[in-house]
Amino acid sequence: MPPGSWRAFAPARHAALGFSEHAAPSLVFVLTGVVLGPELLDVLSVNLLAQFDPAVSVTLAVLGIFVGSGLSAAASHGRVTFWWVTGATLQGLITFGTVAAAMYLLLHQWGLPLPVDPLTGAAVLGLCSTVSAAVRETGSGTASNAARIADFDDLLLVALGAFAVAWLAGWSSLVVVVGLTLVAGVVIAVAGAALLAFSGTAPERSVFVTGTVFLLGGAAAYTGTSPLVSGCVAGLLWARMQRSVTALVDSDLKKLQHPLVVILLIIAGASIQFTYQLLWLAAPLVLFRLTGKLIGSLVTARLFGLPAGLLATYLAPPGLLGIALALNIQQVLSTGDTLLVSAVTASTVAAELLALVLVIFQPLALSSVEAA
Amino acid sequence: MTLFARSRAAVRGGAFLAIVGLMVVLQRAVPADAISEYRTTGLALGFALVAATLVGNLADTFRLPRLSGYLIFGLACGPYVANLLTPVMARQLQLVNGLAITLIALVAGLEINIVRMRRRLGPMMAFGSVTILSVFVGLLTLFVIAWPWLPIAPDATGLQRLALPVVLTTLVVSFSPTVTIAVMAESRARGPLSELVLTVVILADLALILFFTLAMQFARSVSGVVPADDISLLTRLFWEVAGSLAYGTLLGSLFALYLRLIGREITVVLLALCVLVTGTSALLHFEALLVALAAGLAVENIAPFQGDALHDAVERGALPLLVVFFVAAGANLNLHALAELGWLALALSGLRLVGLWLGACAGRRVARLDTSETAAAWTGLVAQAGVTFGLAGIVATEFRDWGMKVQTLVVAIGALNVLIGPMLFRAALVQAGEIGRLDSASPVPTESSVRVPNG
Amino acid sequence: MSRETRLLLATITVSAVVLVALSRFRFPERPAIVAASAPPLELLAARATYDELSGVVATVESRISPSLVVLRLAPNIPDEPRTLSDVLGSGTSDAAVNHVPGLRIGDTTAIAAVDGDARFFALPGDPSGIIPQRLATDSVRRLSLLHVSPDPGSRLRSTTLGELRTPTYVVVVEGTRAGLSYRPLFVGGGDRFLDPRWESPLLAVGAVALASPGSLIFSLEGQFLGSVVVEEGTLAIAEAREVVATADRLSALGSHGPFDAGISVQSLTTQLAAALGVDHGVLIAEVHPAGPVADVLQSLDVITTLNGRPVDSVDEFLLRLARRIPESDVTLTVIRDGGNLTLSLGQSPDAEPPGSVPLGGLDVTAQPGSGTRVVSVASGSAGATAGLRAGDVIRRAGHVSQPTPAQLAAIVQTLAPDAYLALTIDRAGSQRILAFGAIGGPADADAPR
Repeated sequence: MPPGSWRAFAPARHAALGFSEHAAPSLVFVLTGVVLGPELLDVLSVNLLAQFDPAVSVTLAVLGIFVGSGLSAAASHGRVTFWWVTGATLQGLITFGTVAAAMYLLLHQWGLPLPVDPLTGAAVLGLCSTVSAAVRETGSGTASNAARIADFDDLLLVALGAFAVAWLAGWSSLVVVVGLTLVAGVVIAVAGAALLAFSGTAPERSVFVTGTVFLLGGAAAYTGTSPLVSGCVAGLLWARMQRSVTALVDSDLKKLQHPLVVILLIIAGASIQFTYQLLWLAAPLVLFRLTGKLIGSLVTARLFGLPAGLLATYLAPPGLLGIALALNIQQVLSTGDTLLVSAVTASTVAAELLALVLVIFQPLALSSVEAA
Repeated sequence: MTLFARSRAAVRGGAFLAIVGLMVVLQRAVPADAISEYRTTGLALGFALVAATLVGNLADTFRLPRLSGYLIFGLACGPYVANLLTPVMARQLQLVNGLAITLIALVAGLEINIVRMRRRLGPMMAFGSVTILSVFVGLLTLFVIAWPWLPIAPDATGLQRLALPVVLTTLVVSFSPTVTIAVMAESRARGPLSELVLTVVILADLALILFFTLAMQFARSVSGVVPADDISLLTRLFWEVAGSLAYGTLLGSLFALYLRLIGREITVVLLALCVLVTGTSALLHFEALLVALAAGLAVENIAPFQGDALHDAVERGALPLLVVFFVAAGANLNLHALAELGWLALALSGLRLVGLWLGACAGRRVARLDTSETAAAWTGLVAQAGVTFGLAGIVATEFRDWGMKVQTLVVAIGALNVLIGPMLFRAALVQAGEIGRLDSASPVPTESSVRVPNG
Repeated sequence: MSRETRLLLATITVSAVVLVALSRFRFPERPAIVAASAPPLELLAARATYDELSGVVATVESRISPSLVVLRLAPNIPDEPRTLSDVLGSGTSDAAVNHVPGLRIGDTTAIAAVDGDARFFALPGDPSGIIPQRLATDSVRRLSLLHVSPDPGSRLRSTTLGELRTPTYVVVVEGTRAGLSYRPLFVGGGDRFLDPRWESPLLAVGAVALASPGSLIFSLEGQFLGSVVVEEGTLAIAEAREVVATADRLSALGSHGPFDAGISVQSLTTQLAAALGVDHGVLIAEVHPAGPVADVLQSLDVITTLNGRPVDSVDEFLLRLARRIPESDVTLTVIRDGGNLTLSLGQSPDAEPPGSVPLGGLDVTAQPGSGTRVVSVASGSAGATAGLRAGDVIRRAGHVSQPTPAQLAAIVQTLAPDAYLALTIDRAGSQRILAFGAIGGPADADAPR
């Protein structure tokens, strides 16, 4: 094994085990949620979990803000960003297609009791599988290009997720509703930024940031739309504004992000219901997601001239945006059956472990990194 | 007004209107009673945080306490007026109450440095006791005499004629530690007046628990309801008060130890402490307020350096909780009760003010604290909030017939007091020159008394 | 072929194999019961703590209690003669007593879920001691309009109506011996179903333990949402609008018996449908020649719709027809001899139930040596109100002992409008006294006041 290779992938390894604060520490917190949840200790009872619903919406808004600000920051690279986004969307769509088709076939054949019809269930599962964990790669070169493609597949989930959530919430004119969500996001973001620019003291600033984020999440939850979208719009706007505002927002939000993500993962873990259906769904989901990602990475790598193995390594870890979307969908479905959330969470954790394994046994990718 | 100030005012006004407009549009699109209450919480919280802070700033420009701004905002946007915060939302906002009260009490505890206050502690307790007792006796006499004209139970006879006024007086006299401490925390006040008022309201809270339990026992025995066994009642009281203080001291000591030895991630651990206090206090039948107070006391007096740093962190981080707490208080103020009893509530509120002033005069005489600072101490006792309303609710649930009427009256009086109390107290603090003194106060406790600057 | 391509092909192959293999299976049928632990993130879960909910219920109670009244009633069995052993043996004499809440509609009127054959008592603690009187009854919906004591102190005369949208908390008001009881109840996502007795769909509530029939449902804001009814063994909530509309109709039109069209109907079997050349509907077996629809319907008619709504079952058809208000039209779509007809049952007055006899609805025959024996008693008649049953032997009517049918008829005819006649009857070996009211007089409980 080439020297330095192990270290190069240490962040990914650490992330899976929950030691890094940058990548998604999903495993540890999800397990904590499972232990504390109704299935085991019942410290987080059903009633208590329901109280945390607003926290889920707010977390989604914050995650959306980071997606938006990440996109905005990258947009400074100009045309290159466009290619990254295209590549990311392409591999995301391939993954979505693969997973959704396979799961639809299986659900149709199985007759598994789902809270939604098989087509919707397959689409939701496919959508939640499209995203990959963000990778902190800076600089230029092959590795960073591959990392960008892994980063930007969030946008596909945010965009499609908005329509999915609005549809499942019962809205008939989806385009109008999503459009209104965007407008509300813009209004809140502009008002928030204006207040921040003229805010006096640090406590007041943090109140405004907290309040704005709650408005972003709360307005979306109120109307039954996706907070990811309103947060993404807000993030895009804020990153474009004065540097001082951006810096203020960034520092305050970073403080909020960590506890909120922890709460989200614990809730997701506590939402898992251990049933046979879960096993039937989660296991194939992991496999088909991996297949989809591999196909996607091969196609995208061919088109963009990247090493396929490297790209696949970056695309393998699932990240937590899929779990977040699944929780959002669970909120609007308003049913007690959390099969979809359980399946997505369980498969995400399994996929993280699988990605870890792949990372360890993928020296091929490392040689491309060394070469690049 | 400078250009900056004008731009700021314009921007804030614009942002406020935009957010209010958004609320209106959203509620038109989706009526609030049509959806589950969990879906309204985030929106209510965000709206309260942003818009109420702006109104609080506006109040500050008019030399009023910010929390009066939050209260008025809650009132104006609440279910009784504009209904931007629907009844469901108003209920949801109260979810932070437990946490907010714990935090406020913690702040209060952190204020009380026994070494620093040792000399004055005795006279302050004397002042407090005399004030409370004289106000109580005065109002009780008034209520007993005026009972037939009060719209509660005019035809009560015998011992009921005494028991019911006792219950009413206990509720009317009760002070609100949370509002008073919040005013002090928000104004960053420190000085003899603040310390005196703080001591008195804490003392009053302890006294209230005692008075209320005894008054309810009295009323129960007079109404023919079988009263609880007297011994178990005393035991319960003892458990509630002493147990809360002991538990709080324990938690506070542990926290002080943590601060001294590790001292990392203070905000998170503090939040966890507050959640722990709120949760376990209910389970163990303790008073969360007393527990948090004792915890703050323990930290401040065992580890004063850490205490001040913690105090800082708490105050800077507590603003969102306070905003929501007071918006919720304003939104849940029962204006119907006020409208129903209008003049009577106003009159009784006025009488209570007079009684407080007279009682404070007597207290100052007796405790020999007759200084310019203590002359205005009565203003810190005017406000009434959550505790009073909660106790009134208990009375209403237990004594169906007259209890509801007592509740209506107390709620109406309380609504008035919670609005004027903070304004009066803050004016007194400004007069005493104690605003903002907290920032300039030294962390090391000194024996010398703090001089009051002019103006 | 590069290593990546090989890995990809391997993965695709494995996935395809797994896909094909898994699609052969069928998920085993399991009972749709979720595991014992309730699912998390249950948006419908009981969230409110006791304190908050009790405060809200108390507030609601104070708001709505002036518009409610509790009724104490029992099935209208005439007072049985009781001996000491009866009392000792049965335990309590109030075994069959029921308490039902009533909703005040006007100053002295209220509506409650009370049948036509119940009688009322004053409440034990009620100082006025006024016994409610039934004014009118809708016997299909089993709601009655009652005259109750006026409440001088109450300010609320009407309660606002609300719409029941689930899931939500509601306040259930039930009648108890000590008065009204208010408690919160969580009503989860509910299915609505159509019932022939009601116009709008009813909301299924669930087990009997949740709310007793006749209890009233209010929202947490004090709006009247509906009344709990039992239909086809299911506990359901009838919308407030319907209940109040029934009350209005009863006060305007008075009560009327269920419209008995004097027909007997049969359901269509496949063979009958084939024989008649129809595919759905209800088959009329017999039309009473003296009945109200004798000139409109015939035997072998197949009724397919009633007032525009398709008719599916015999019971449903009879119930829906029974709801006909005297002044309203009923439109039927009928298939007769292969052709479609639209018929209307016009404004015909309520037909006399077939077989009525002038003797207060009694069919009697002489019983030499004893008096007069009752052969049959028409329901809703004065005889039924008095408590007479088939097989009773009237030994004494007023002062006349062992009356013949003719003597009995004569005495009954000469009764003053609000007078009663004491009848001594023999029933199953024991003797008892019944009060028989004049025909067409105030003893006729169904007559509008």
